[in-house]
Amino acid sequence: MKSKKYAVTDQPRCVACGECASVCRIGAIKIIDGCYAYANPETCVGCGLCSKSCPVGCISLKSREEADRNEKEMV
Amino acid sequence: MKKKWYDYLWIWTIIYFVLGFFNILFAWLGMIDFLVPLIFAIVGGNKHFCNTYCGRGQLLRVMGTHCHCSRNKTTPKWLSSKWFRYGFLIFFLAMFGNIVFQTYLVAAGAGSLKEALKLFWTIRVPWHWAYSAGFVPDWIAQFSFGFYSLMLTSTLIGLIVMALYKPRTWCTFCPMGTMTQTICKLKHRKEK
Repeated sequence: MKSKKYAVTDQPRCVACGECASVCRIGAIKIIDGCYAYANPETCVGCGLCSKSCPVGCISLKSREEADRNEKEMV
Repeated sequence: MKKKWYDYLWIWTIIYFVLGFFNILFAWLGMIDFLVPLIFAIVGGNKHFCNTYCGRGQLLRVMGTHCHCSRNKTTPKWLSSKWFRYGFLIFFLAMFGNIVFQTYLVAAGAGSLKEALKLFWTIRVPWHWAYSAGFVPDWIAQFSFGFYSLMLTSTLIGLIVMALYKPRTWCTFCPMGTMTQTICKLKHRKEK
C-alpha cells in the first residue's frame, strides 16, 4: 500500500548536496545529473526525513490524494 | 544500512587539519578536495564528490546530527539564493587568486614568506612552528600557509552555520558545490 504523502523537490532551488539521498532509508531519492534531487513517488514512503534534513528547505511532502485530484482536473 | 569506507571520510578532514598544525606543507593535500570535485563534474557530469566523498560535508553531518551540535533551524533563504551563492563563489575565487599571486611574489623574490595564517581573510594567526625554513623553496610554503588559511576559514564558517542552522547549511553556498553544479547544468544543457 502506498503512503498518503510523498516527497517533492523544488528543483530550481535544490543545490544537489545529496543530504536527502544519504538520509533516505529506502533509496527513493537520486541526484539527477548533479543538478537536483528527485524523489521517486513510486517508492517514496513519505517519512519526511529528507525534508527535515534538507539544508535549503526545498523538499516538501505532497499529498497523493491532492496530486491525483489535480491530475484528474487537468485531464 | 552497512557503512562503506567512504562514510568515514570525515576523519580525513580532521587528520588534514591536525597534520597542518604540525607541518604546514600537508596543506597541499587539500588540493585533492579542490580538484577531484571538478574532475567528477567535468568528466562525469555529476556531483558524486559532494554526494559521497566530501569529508567536510560528512564532518558537518556527524557533528550536527550525531553529536547534536546543530540547532536544526531553517536556513535563511538568502543563504541559498543565486545572488549569494555566485557572489560567494566569486569572492572565494578572488581570494584563491590572491593566494596564487602572493605565492608568485615570493617565488619571484618580490615578497617574503609570511609564516602565519589569515583567518576569515583578516585575522593574522602566528603559525611559525609548522614550518622549518629552507626545507622547501619559500613559495611552496607560502602557498601552504595561504591554502591552509582558506581551508580552515571555510571549515570554521561551515561549523558556525552548522551550529546556527541545519548540519549541512554550508553546502547551500559552498563554492565548490556551486561551481560543480553549474558545470553539471551547463554540461547537461548542451547534451539536451
